[in-house]
Amino acid sequence: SVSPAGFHMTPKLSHVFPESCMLIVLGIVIGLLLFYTQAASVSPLTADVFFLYLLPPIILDAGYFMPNRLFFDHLGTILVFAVIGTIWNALTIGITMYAISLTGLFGESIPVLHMFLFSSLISAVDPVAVLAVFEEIHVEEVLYILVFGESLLNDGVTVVLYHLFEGYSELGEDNIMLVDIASGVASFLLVALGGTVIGIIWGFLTAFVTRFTSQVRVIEPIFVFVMSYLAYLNAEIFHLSGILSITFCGITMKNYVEQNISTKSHTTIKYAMKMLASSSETVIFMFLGVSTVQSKHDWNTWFVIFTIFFCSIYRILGVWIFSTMCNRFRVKKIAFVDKFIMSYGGLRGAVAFALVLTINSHHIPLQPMFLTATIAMVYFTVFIQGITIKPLTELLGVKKAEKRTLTMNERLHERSMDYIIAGIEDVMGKHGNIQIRNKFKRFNNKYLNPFLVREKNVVEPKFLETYSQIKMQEAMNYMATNGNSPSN
Amino acid sequence: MGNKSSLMLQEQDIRDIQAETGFLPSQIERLYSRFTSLDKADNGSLSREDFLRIPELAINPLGDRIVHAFFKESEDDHVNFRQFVRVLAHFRPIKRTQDNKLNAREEKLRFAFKMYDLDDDERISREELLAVLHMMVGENISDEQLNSIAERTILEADRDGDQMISFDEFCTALERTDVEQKMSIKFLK
Repeated sequence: SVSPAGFHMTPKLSHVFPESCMLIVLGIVIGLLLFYTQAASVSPLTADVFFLYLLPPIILDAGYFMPNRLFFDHLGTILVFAVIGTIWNALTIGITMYAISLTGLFGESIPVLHMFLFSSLISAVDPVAVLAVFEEIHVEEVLYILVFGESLLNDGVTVVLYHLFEGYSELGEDNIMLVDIASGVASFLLVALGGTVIGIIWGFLTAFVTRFTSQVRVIEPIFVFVMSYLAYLNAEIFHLSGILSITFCGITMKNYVEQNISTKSHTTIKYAMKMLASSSETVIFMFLGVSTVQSKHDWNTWFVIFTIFFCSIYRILGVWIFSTMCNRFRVKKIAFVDKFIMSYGGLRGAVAFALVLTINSHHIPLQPMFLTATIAMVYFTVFIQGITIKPLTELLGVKKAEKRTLTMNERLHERSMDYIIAGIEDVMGKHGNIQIRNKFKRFNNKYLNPFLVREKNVVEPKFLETYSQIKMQEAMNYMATNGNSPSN
Repeated sequence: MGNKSSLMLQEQDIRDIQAETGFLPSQIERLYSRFTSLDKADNGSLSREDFLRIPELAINPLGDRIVHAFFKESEDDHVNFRQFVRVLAHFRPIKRTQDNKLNAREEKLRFAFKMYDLDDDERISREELLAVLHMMVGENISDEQLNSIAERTILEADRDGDQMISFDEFCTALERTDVEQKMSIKFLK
């Protein structure tokens, strides 16, 4: 992705450090320069800027280019990690840290609810950091989708836990009733499902709109961007999960939009989206660096150490417990090495940082200490884990992904294997993933496609897509090898 | 139903089937109870009609072919429990610790290959490929497009230039596919 050109020019550095590390360092340098010269006070990363402008492009990019099949095949496991795993992290970290604070080791007494507020924001794996690191190491696709899907979907949980404990903290410990706890659980379902539903609705709307844009090709990319951003804002208006909304908006619209728009618009969308996403990623990491210098700190050695320690320990423990649990239901088991990379890939990042910034220090006087600990945790995961994860994957022999287009044979026979499995499961009277997929496919072909797609709809559009991709590639190769093409 | 099935299924049968297919006894009993519920005529065997009565299977584009695969080994157009389980055993997940011939990668591939190879000559011809394509894609795609897809598929896989895909060529074409996972079902215990 986009990063200071100098960094990519020096090949050795980019082997050792992930881009995100270098960007943070650069941010720190800029921050220090600004601080000592007092030339200008750049307002550091604020939560609003982050959530409204910097985060949506990255998430849209992730959702739009999501390998749908892979994602839905592993949805069960991803959800277990995103929902139960995040709750597990938040609770265990909160409880342990609170227990330690009772011993007086931190020097201050931390109210239990404030502790949980902190643990809920620190426990979420960050999609931005995970993407930044995993894009470079190219692990095998299943492993990738597990970590990445978790980081995207745990947003629902994070937002709810955060607002829940924020609300509880304001209420005060003594005023919390059973009703409040019950409403917390209900609000989780509402925030997550509501965000998802809004995203899906906007996704269909976008698909529907692109059905009519064949006369004005230039605005096709605009619709995709604007409408998915509206999905995000729409969810945020109601305090639902914007991340889930824009993710599902991207997932929903993709297949229909691609059939409706021209190839050129598609190329534009693809590159504009990639560019926007990597620009905001760059800005986020640099802002993280700048903010480190400029925010008000309160360093508490034991608190920082225990935060990092317990975040890592409970991550490892959680991954181990939940993947063992999921393995009972999975055809393809999560191997030991995968578990290790999954727990190691639990990077914390800008979402945690932006959340800690939004804490009101009037209500929660320990906010500066939380801020420092969060920054320390982000640095620890992005630097230590980010730098070592690449050599570790090589050392452990983690399978690497190979990027390629499917051959016609693979596309065709894999599809027929799906039908075989669906058929056999029917014979056995078992209801599996593929049956749900086939049901949706039939529904889609019968009702959705004719409505959302302009051209005559085809039952297996992927066959044609693969075919034309292969043909296109051949033509390009032909042009490249036979030199003197007049254009280009 | 559970009672009845365990009554009719002798201990010895279970052990034999377990040795042959690698299923656990609990899985075999579960499959047996499914078998008896499919067996509407109650004569210990399944006919084609019994299979096609499964609603989802009837609309599966490969449904006929899948049913056909169950009858490969039987002579009188009836499938007994033994044959039923043997076909299903192809779809057991592969475990490193135990190996069983029926669920080996090659067997899984052969099952998929048989979906195309209707005349059992160990080759997929262009017509056979087109037939399956037609079943999967339906009507609203032009014959021309379908033809070029079929031709492309054969061209890609065909090594010896006979314009057909042999089983070896089929395996080579799917070298990079995770057949072990794609062709496996998690059988309930």
